Amino acid sequence: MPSSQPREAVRRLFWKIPQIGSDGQTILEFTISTSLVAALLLGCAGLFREQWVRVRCAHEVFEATHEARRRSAGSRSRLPYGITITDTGGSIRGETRCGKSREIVELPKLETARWN
Amino acid sequence: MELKSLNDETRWSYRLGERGSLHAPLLIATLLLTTAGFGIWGVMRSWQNTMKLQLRLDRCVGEAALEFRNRLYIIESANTRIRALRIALAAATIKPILKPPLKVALTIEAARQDYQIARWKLKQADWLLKRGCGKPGDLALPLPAFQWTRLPADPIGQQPLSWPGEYPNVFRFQAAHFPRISAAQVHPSQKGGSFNGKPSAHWATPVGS
Repeated sequence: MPSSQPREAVRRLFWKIPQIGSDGQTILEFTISTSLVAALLLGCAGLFREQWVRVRCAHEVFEATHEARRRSAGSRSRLPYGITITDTGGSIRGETRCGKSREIVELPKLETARWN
Repeated sequence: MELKSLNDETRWSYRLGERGSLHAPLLIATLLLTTAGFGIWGVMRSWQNTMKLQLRLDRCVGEAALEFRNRLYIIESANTRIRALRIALAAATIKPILKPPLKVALTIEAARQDYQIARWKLKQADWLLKRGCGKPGDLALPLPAFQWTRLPADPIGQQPLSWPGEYPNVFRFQAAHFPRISAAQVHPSQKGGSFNGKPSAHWATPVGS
């Protein structure tokens, strides 16, 4: 089949052209998808970090306020994490800044507690 | 030969993309982030549950302490009124017409005290059955008891309740559910047998913590 050899060579050559071109396409797709996925991952990581800081801070405020109420902390006192405890008369109030937000926990004294 | 080598070269580079070897770090990062995310979520849930548990125990103990405080106040103030009524009854020998209403008032006050003591005994039994706050895993100290006794009625009428032995300085309430404990205490207002005012209830540091 001598006549078919050049035809086959041409067919192979043209068949390879899109493959050669698809290298660039692959790199482009890879770059775009990597950027998107990386951005998504970074966003998720940021969101997790923000939530972690906020919840941890809220938990610390609750624990500090609860402990202060148990010990019947009278006047203002300073605690770690910048938590401020105040006796408002009927309750004990713990307050601090958690990142961008302010966390306030107010627990009533037993004499003024109402649950219903 | 030249064409064959070109074919092999392009096929190799094309395969590289197909294998996704370059996406492996991203996959690892995604897996790590997902694992970390679930881990963080778990810790946050655990903190939230701890806070909820503490508030539940606080509510349970606080309600019991306040109920005790209120019943104690009713009983102590009724005792004061019974003493006053007995004095009035003793003095009513001069005006016997005053005796029947005073006797009725005395009986009502004594019945009110008995009712408060009976209700508190029911609460104690309920507390014991529920092991405190009524959830599996809860543990609690028994509720303090009203140990008042009433001497038999004399010719004047019912006598006031008297506490055998020394009157406690403080009544303690405590419930726990690992890893949290809640405690409260009630300070009676009675000093040396005289009624000075309402008993006070406070949160307290748990015993054994």
